[in-house]
Amino acid sequence: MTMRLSLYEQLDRDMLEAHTARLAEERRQRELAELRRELVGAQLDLAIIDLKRNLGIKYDSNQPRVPAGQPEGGRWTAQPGRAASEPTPASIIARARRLNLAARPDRYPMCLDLCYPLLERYQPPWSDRNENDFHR
Amino acid sequence: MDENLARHVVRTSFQVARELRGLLMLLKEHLGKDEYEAYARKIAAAIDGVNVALLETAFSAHPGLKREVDASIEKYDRFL
Repeated sequence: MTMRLSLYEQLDRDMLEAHTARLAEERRQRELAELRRELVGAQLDLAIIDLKRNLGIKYDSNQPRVPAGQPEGGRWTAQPGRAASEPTPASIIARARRLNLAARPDRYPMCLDLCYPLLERYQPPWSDRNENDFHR
Repeated sequence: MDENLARHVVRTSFQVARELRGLLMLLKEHLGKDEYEAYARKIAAAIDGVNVALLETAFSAHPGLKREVDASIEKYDRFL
């Protein structure tokens, strides 16, 4: 009787371990899928920037800026029909924060890839805006 | 560290980061894509290193300084 209970206990333990392992694997797969989505998003952003560079779309002094007093006030904004798909600093920062470097330091290189375009935006030489956005 | 000295730390950190950003722009004009991207990552890591080592330390000691920096950059594009 004792032996049969022990077998049941062993069976329960095995089933619990299998269940735990399955949950861990599912969580790992979800994290992997999320990581892949972030990577594809970052690659897409970089491809857009490269495309713009190759097409010779550069700084245009007539490009509109977000009005002062708004959260993105003073920053360049997309021109209708031209650069609407360009990632904004806010979208890059939000995406970088989703990488959650405190919990996943292994994502740091991806974060650098994602964020260095923040430093590439045209700004006057005396401006600290790109550096401050990069810090955020 | 008193707050004025912390402000100097922040200004110097931004100055270093501006220099590195200037280097980034120069390299972008003169390097091929792959070589530039490799440098861009390293420059971004260097700026991040300055941010973590100096900016974060100054902001931790004087939390109000971060708001002051953000407000100044919002208004003047620079920490005055």
